[in-house]
Amino acid sequence: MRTSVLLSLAAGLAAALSLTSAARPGEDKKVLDVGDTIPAETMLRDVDGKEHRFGDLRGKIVVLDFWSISCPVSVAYEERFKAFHADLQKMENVVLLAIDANATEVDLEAEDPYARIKAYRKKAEVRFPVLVDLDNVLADRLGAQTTPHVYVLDKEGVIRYQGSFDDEAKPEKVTKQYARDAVDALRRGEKPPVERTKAFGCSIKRKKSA
Amino acid sequence: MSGASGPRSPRDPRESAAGRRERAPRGRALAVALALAAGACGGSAPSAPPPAPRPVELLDAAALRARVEGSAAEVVVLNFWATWCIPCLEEMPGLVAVSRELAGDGVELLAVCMDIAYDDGVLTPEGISAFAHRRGIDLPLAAFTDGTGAAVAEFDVGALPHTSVYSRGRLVGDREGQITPDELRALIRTARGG
Repeated sequence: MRTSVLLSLAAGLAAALSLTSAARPGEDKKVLDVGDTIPAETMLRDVDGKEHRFGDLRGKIVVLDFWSISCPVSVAYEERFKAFHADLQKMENVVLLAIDANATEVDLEAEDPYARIKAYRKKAEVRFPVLVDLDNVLADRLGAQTTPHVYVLDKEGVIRYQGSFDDEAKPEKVTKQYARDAVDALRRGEKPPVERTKAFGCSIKRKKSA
Repeated sequence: MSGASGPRSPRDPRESAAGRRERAPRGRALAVALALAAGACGGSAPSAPPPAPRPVELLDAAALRARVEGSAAEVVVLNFWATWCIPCLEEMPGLVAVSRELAGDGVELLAVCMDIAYDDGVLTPEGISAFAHRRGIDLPLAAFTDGTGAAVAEFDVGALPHTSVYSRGRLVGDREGQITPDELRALIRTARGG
């Protein structure tokens, strides 16, 4: 309750700021919330080197998941994300992108800095793209704290849902499908029934603190 | 910072889960061996004998709530942690120190392990007890048996570690992320009204 009031205040403040200070220095440090737009120029590369520019994703519903190869909670969600991805692939203009922002899972000294992520992906048969947020640019911009932590963007790049994938890490106890419900609502042209939840998981191992 | 994160930071989740399953019995054997060694050495040991492994209370959300409200201690501190959570393990020595300092002074600290909350198969209560003993987590131990949804809804736990301070059953302060001993002492002082 307390958190949601704070978040609402933050959202209001953020909305007010975005009207007046879009081009000012320091704007790029503002944490985005539900209702805010991910800047079109934001770009991350995936582990295969392909560029993903958020401006190029306009026209698509985008599901982002802050993801990890070593967080047991993120790993416990893997089968759910794989099934979700398979379902999204049957829909038009909906994409799922995983984002690894954990400095501990990349080795910049190695010949292939992403070797561990690639090995995990192969073993776990993960087919969705895995983007690497090396400098935590997107994690910081979104205020992402945990793995997993999900964001659903509409076709204009506006954040419409953020929080946990569903309401329970144990699959058999899930009663609310927050991410799926958000995508379904956006496809119908409606507002997601729930816009914010608190995500449970491992803290993202940011570059600065690693 | 990274140097304190321990020698066994898991590289691969499968490897670490399997490793924990295998290591738990060895941990118990080690505990027994240590206890025997401590007994055999008697007073000749250079320092106090290692504390015995602690039992693990299995608590769902309602039982944990009742545990907090029914505690004889004026202040109850809940520290939510997990065996895989490096920042949690890093802050444990500080929590143990504060717990020892304030035990018998109306403060009870309970380390609530979240491993079972997301996966029943990874760790047993005995495994948690052995792990805590091996890592020197000499605190009263509990394992949260409800799911993560209940932890979020009832205790506002998001990213681990998460520390909540209660005064006579009422939440008076909490902290998400690592907490230093001084920060915890300050929260406890606030809980006592000064």
